[in-house]
Amino acid sequence: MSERVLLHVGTPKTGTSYLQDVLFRNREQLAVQGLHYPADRFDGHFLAALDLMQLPWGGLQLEAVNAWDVLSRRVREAEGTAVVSHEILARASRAQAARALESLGHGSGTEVHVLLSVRDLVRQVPAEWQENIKHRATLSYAEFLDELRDPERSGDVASWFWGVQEIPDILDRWASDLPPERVHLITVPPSGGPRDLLWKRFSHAFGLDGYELELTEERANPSLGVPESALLRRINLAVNEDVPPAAYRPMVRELLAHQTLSKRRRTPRLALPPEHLEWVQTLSQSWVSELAARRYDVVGDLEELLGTPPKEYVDPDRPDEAQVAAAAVDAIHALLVESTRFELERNHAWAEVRRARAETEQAREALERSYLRAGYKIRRRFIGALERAGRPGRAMIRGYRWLRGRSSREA
Amino acid sequence: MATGTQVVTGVDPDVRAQSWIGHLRSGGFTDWASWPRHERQLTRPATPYRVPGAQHLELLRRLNHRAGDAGLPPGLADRVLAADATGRGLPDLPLAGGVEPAYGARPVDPATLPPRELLRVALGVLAGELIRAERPTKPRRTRFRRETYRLVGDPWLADPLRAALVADGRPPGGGDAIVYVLGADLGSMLVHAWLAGAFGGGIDPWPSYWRRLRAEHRIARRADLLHAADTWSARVGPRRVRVVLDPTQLPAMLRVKRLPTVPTPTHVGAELARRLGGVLGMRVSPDQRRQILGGLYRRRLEAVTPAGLSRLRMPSEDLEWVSDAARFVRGQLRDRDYPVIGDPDLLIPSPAPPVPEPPRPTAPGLLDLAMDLLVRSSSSE
Repeated sequence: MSERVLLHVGTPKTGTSYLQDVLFRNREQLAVQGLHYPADRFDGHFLAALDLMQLPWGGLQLEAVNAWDVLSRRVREAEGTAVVSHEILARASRAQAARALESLGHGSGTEVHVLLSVRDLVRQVPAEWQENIKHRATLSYAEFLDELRDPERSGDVASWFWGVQEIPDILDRWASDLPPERVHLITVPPSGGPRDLLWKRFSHAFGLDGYELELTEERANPSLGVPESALLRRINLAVNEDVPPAAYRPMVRELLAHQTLSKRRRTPRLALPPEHLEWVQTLSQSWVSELAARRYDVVGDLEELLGTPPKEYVDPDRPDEAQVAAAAVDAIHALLVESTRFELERNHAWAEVRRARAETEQAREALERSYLRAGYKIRRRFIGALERAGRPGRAMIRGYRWLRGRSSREA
Repeated sequence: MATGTQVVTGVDPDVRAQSWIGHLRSGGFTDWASWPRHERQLTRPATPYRVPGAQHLELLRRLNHRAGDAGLPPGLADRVLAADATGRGLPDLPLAGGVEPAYGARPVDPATLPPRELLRVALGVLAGELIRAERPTKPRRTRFRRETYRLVGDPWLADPLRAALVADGRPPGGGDAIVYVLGADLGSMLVHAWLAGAFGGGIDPWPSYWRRLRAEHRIARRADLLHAADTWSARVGPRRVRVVLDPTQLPAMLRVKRLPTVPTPTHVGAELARRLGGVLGMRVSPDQRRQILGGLYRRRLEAVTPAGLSRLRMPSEDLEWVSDAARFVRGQLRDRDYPVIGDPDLLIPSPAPPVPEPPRPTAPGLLDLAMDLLVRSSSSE
């Protein structure tokens, strides 16, 4: 049984993908030293989270049946410390969180810690809008902000946003049963600081200091600029009805958003509109005060949650059209390159199919010629009679085939 | 742990909530707003209940009201209160009248919740009930004498007939098996193609599906008789392929006394199947999902569907292009010389009968049907 479980439940857009990538790449080495990250695929914990929360996710949930049970069993069977990490766990209801904690050994002798990486709302708000757009959303930035500010939070967008970003509420659902020393907040440092500071904080919180780990230089979840976000939203408006989720993921989200548009780094960045800054800062201050009063372990500084006012603001609902057009050209270029590659592969595959069909046709013609032989016709009539004779006849055929060593069956 | 604002009501809100939950669990259906607010009128349970979301409590209240004196099936109340709300939507909501939480979802009067939020819980409960009640049927031993056959084509027609034959000890296949490609009028087959997805592996909602067909005047692959006939002809030879448009002749050809008829469900029933499929897909294998929806769910749906209700059908404004496509298929079948059992003109759809269009699924309608199925189900079939 695991002595200790580090359960990292969020929040999105706080460098979680990078952490999970490092844990996955180095899992074997870590396991030897008593730190277990049970995962056979890089998205294993994501699927487990979908299963725990019974969340649809563009068809991926079909691969998640029983995934939480499998993960929790592997955690319980591990010796030492086990790590579970996925940011959508922030959205779990109280009942789901209680089930998860129990399944990981809470209340049965395992010391469960809840970890939450957190970033200021000044950056989280635009980041979450962009994440919505990368998941086929078509709402404008203004509509998104209106939904967030609606006190009823009745829309899906607001309900999801606050479910995964409202830090005190997340911890009420996940950690109300835990002593404060087992709740750890990792704050994301402000922009402009040392690039490895966030990783150092993660490393410290997860007990990875001192390990020789294979770290990657690549950003796990690159962000889009203003014209790129506007373009992606327009693409969603145009294609959502015609492009199913299974095709959207590789073509739009991966190829266009992550591999193409995110490389355009010189365009204006998304930011919080100035008119919403006071609201965000007032809310953030209330959270900081509440979290300080709860006396959780903080890796970083709670004051970082107050955020820094953006230096400039460019409205993605009214972008520079020349910049959007330039981004569109890059997108079309990427699609043409991919289509060309696909076309060449398809031509090659069709050539293989034609060759196989020709061989099949030759075999069929040879078979047809053999069917015309008198000996075959007699055998065929005899076999047909045996089949129509019922069970004894079919048993005789099976025996005959077994003796002959035939493995093929009739069509 | 969260701080909040105390709302003074004259009663401990926890006591009020606990007694209301006890009332609901024992079959009551007084709404939350009308529940007594003075402690002397309330009963505190010996062991406190876990307080679920307001959505769960309101769903249970409505189910109790619907069940009336007959009550709910045993254990269903507990399963409703323990269920997860499926999909995305509001989180578990606190009851209005208690401590106003400083963070998290706002408290609500459960009776004011929109039907779609109750439907999220109902779908999870209904999926769980179907999984619990599903009993795999052991097919009868293969019969001593049987016709060799295969049933392909329109899956809405072929799959249940094949399942019935297998259960009766007549599995498909065998040497020289005749391949019967089942069909109907093309309009019905296009509806059936969507139903096969809704009751099977999943498909877009009906309006999206039909909009795509209409835009391209396209025959859905599952409704493509020519494709099915050509595929099997290439596999077994054209002499062993028959296109069947008159299903009444099938029992005689297969030498059975009768075959089940397969009614088309209402649009609401089919849409509920489609949504249930999404939930079931997260809990059971694809084969089990297909068996549950095509078997147990379909039987229960028929049992609660009032006679005379309009069934899902092709929109009447699309009769012209579908009829054109059907005439093309009829011509191709004739040109390719496939034997057709039944009149080839049966492919051409008839104008819609002068009955109201089937009602479109709405959240209240889907919730109504889900509750009917929950209340009238039994744990054993």
